[in-house]
Amino acid sequence: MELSLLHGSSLPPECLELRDEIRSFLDLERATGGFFPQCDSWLAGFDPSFSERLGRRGWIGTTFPKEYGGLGADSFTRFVIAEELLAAGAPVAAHWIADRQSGPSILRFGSHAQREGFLPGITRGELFFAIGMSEPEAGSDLASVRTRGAKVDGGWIVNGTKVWTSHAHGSHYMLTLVRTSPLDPAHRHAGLSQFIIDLTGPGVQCSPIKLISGGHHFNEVALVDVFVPDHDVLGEIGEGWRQVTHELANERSGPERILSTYPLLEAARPALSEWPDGRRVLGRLTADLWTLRNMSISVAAELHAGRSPNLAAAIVKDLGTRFERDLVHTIAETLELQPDPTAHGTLPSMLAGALLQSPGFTLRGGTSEVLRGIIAKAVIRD
Amino acid sequence: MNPEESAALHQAVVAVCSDIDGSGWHPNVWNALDQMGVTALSVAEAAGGAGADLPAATTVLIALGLAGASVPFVESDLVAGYLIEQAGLRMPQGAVTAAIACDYELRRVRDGWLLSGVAPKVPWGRHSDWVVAVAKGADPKVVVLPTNAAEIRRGSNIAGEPRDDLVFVDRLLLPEEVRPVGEDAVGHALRCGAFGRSAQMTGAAQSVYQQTVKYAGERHQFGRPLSAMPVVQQMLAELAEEVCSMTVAVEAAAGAAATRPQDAWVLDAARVRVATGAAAVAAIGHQIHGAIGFTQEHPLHRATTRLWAWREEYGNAKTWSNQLGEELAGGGDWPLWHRLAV
Repeated sequence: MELSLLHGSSLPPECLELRDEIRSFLDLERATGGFFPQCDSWLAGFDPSFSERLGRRGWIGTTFPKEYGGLGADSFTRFVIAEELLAAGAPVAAHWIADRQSGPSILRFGSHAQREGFLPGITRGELFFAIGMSEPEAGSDLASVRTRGAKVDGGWIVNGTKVWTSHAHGSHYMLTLVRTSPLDPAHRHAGLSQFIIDLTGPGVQCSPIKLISGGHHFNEVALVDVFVPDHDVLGEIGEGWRQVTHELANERSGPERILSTYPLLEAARPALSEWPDGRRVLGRLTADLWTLRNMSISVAAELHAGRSPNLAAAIVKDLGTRFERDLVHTIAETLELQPDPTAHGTLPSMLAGALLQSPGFTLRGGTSEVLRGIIAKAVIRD
Repeated sequence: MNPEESAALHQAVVAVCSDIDGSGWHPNVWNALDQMGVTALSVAEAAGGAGADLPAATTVLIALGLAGASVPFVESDLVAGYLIEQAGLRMPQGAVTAAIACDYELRRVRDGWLLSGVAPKVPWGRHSDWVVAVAKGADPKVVVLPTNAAEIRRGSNIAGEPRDDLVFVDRLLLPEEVRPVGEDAVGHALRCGAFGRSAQMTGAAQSVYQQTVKYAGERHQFGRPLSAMPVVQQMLAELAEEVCSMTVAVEAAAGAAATRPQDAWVLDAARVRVATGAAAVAAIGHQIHGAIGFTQEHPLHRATTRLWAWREEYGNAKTWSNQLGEELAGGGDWPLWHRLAV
């Protein structure tokens, strides 16, 4: 593996103005009760009206071409918007998946009609997507999905069950990985396709799976004889694996893999500042975060250059999500703080939320072990 | 420097390090660097340097660390060079080292000043022609002293690099040889030394990575290479992550500090990250190498002992976490993020 895979890059200066604009918007939102900062806000903060307000500013789907409602902006612009929203703990979960991966996949692989049909609604913050990848028997091993599509006249009949589907109950569509040819043990990644499934349509049953925090974003989505018309097939039949792999690079590389618990650090800063040991911990956590942010920017620079930095993204995600988790425990220990889920609006309450969400950080979007497997393969290949 | 120039500089430095040994002083490398004109690479031309920037010096330091070279580049370019600039002096001819934390005391006499005291653990003191030192006092003063006038008490760090006490007794200095500088300048010189060691450590960590990946592919146990074992693969991945993180930290910090001098704290952040990562890098390297890796005949120790030695010089992870925490402490509404993302 080439070690100079990631260099220290920096964001272009034209992002500065946008950053100020977003900060002013967020200041106003906070001051007027538009949102209350929380950890893991890109999954736990589902607020369609906030998404609509962002959409009106043009800050969703910014990288889409103007003809589809976007700004035709570059990936650095999206990076700045994403990190400002996450650092503020703003409730961005409703549109996050559509903005991050479903929309870009439709733009890349979709038909003209699909682009016209879905992308403008995404940019307005009105149309939300869920990810239909994992299944009860296919978690990290995506190639073993069992949801099947059978060809019928004018479309496909889909049967199967998707699980861990965040916000399926609040989303309009699910970009779904489906087996459209029988599993060939010699070519496990062949025969998969991606369907855009209307979650409000007949045959779709969505059941909540409650988290240990008491929160609800996970669902089990049962698909019983769901009819998917041919025009809702994304890209090519049989090309699902390649398309999904591309989606994963977007999914793994963003600032949400380092900033999920950042609001806790910001909220703990006054207390940490009060005595030497606290300040030392503040220094150490900031040093790690600062480094990770620069790594994430380097990945954004790779994406910007048109490359697909899957390996670098895996490195950033593994380090970043472990940092997200360790930050929570370090702050609890340093401040000798008992998590208290009932003390709303306080540091102990934010700590409670972050702790209960923390097991997910190193699981979602590829577990740490899977990511290290990817990294090790690249290391050994040399 | 653009990426091509940086790569060329890296290659040039690696090339002059081609036949170095396991000792703690490499005069051939130093002479070659001197001929390349880089021993005061980032020092202003007005002060006798080459006028390049911190990213260029960082490139040289990573290459020196990768090769396991033992030369006083940090001392000459980043510490002495900076103090010389601040004091309005010029770099002297010959090899230059530096001493910031010393107890040299100045006593006023009729013709100027008398300097006495000890500078402890001066890097490559015995091999340097000059030491640029900060004398103690209410307002710190920079002095340039010839090492041949000092009593040298030899010592070394755990990598075998000379760290010598330089003792002066009543060394007479003319008034114009004693230059006051601000406390801030002394603090920044220390920070530059710490950052320079971090860049060297990044190179040393890259060396551990290269040696370990190679060994894991060649060494067979239980009928297969070590690198075929999942447990070893997870360790190799972690090693790659740490080294990647160190590399980005020093490169990004050098670039950011060069373009925004008011954000010099990023150099401290890189120091903390690199000093913290070094433990895991050395531990994984040695664990995968097994017993052979901590014998003198195997070259792994040249990189790992330097990692352990360098992370404690010019202040360690604790020193600079404290410093960074002081810099970033305070109350208010979301201002930490505004410092981080500018």
